Amino acid sequence: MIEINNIDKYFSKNALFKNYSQKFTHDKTCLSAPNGIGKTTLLCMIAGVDIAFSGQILLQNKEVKKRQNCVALASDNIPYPSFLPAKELLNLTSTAWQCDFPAELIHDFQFDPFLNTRYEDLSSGNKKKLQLINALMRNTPYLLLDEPTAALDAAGCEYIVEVVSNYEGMVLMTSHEPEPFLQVGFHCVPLIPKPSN
Amino acid sequence: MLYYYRYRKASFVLSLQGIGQQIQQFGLMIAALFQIYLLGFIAILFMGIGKIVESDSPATQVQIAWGLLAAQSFILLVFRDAVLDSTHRRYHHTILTQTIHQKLADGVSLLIVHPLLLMSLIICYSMGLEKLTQAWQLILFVVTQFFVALCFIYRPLGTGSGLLLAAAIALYATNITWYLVALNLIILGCSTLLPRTLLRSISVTGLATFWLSFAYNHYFVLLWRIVLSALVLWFGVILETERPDLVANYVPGLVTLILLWWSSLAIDLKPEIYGRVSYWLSLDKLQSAKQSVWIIVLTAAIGFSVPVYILLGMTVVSLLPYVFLPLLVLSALKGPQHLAMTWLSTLVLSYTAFVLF
Repeated sequence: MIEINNIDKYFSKNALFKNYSQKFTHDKTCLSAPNGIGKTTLLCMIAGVDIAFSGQILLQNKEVKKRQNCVALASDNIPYPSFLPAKELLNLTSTAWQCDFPAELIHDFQFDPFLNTRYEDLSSGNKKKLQLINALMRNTPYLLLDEPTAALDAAGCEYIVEVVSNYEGMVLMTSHEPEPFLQVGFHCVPLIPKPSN
Repeated sequence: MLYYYRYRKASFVLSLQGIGQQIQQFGLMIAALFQIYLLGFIAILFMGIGKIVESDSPATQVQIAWGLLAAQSFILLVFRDAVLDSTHRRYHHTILTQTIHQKLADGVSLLIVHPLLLMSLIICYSMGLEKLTQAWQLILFVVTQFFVALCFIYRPLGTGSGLLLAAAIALYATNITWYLVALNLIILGCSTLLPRTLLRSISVTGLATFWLSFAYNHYFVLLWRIVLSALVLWFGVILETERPDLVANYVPGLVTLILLWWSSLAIDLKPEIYGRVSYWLSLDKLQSAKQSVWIIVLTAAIGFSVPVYILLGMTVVSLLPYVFLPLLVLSALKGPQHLAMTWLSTLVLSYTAFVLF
């Protein structure tokens, strides 16, 4: 379970979240909201990669100091070092988190031919595949996916739906095309930050 | 086809303005400091080119020629993206039917940002046709300048490697004509045979290998600093030979110069960490990544300045620039203009202390 309590988040002087609270209790949740509401920002805050906010985020009712230790995030919002080839980015993640090199995921995503391509030279679909592999390989208790099917080919979309439906941990994702995920048991939760009175 | 040239002109001007803005503050500070030497420096460059026409020592001619070709490569390194319009290079093919126009526009842009070639042409013009026909080595040098510049903008890795190889030959060559012919052939060979970019990648498993891979992919970031440090050291050695009585006065200045460009390395490293905070947070390595920037910059700055003390001697007061080194790195991380201000203050303070103690 992920619990968010009284979060305040500002960009410059504009409040994106003000006193926002929410509980995600279902194991498979799909956040829905129009563009610009703060879905990606919320995922980044939960994943511990955006620390500039006030409030409380609890995982299984506990405040975890470094949430990135147990939360993996796949998002366009994470700027990977552009000069590194995909293989080296995965190597770095593998060493940093002491997990196996994701040979099976790479094969199933049909990503093998692009392993030696620099991140900056990958197509947007392949960038998305790399982000997904990079998050999935860690097998964390919490998996956050930001628009996982955006720019993916049909085979990639089918595969990610299959993978997340069988994922053992909690999956929280955002998607503007949630139907395939809803069909495999995802719960749709609208993201409506409530402005404080 | 005029529309294409109009586009290239607009894009080129815009790129130059961008470069101007980037170096404005920093450049102004340095120019303010060295303005009294600026005319002298230009005169030295003209004299250097003049030495290629006439010199008592053939070895000096060869070394000056190589030095000027290396210097032009550093200048072109700054302007390469503007000359090629690299950001929109693929766009050119959507509005062009023949690539000859693209190459022509590249060539013209190259001439505009090539001050050393322009200086050579000025000397050629001032000599007049009759004298020029007798100074064939100058004509060959001008051709070499343009050829090396062209190779450099299209094939920087091959040309850079060729120049390093030519530097070794310059130590032994005693005939300027044969040297320039050999240099052209070496550059041609290296540009043709070596790949446009580095093909192999370094296995990245941690911060050390990450930075190794960064250096491998951005070798010019280090190369120009290494060459400038070597030049400062060379200058120091010459100074010690010519005026050994003054050398102690110059040591803090020489060290402060080396610290300037090595602390500015932080400007190049910063985007990889501070521009990718969420990436490093996702690996839980943000703090160690930030520390690694400091370790690299401090180690490089000290490592490349220590030879000055080893060769020219050291006193406790002459070590003062090191006290300001962390401040230099900190200001470099804030921005080039901050670094320029801090560096200037460091220089003044170092010499004030030197005079007082």
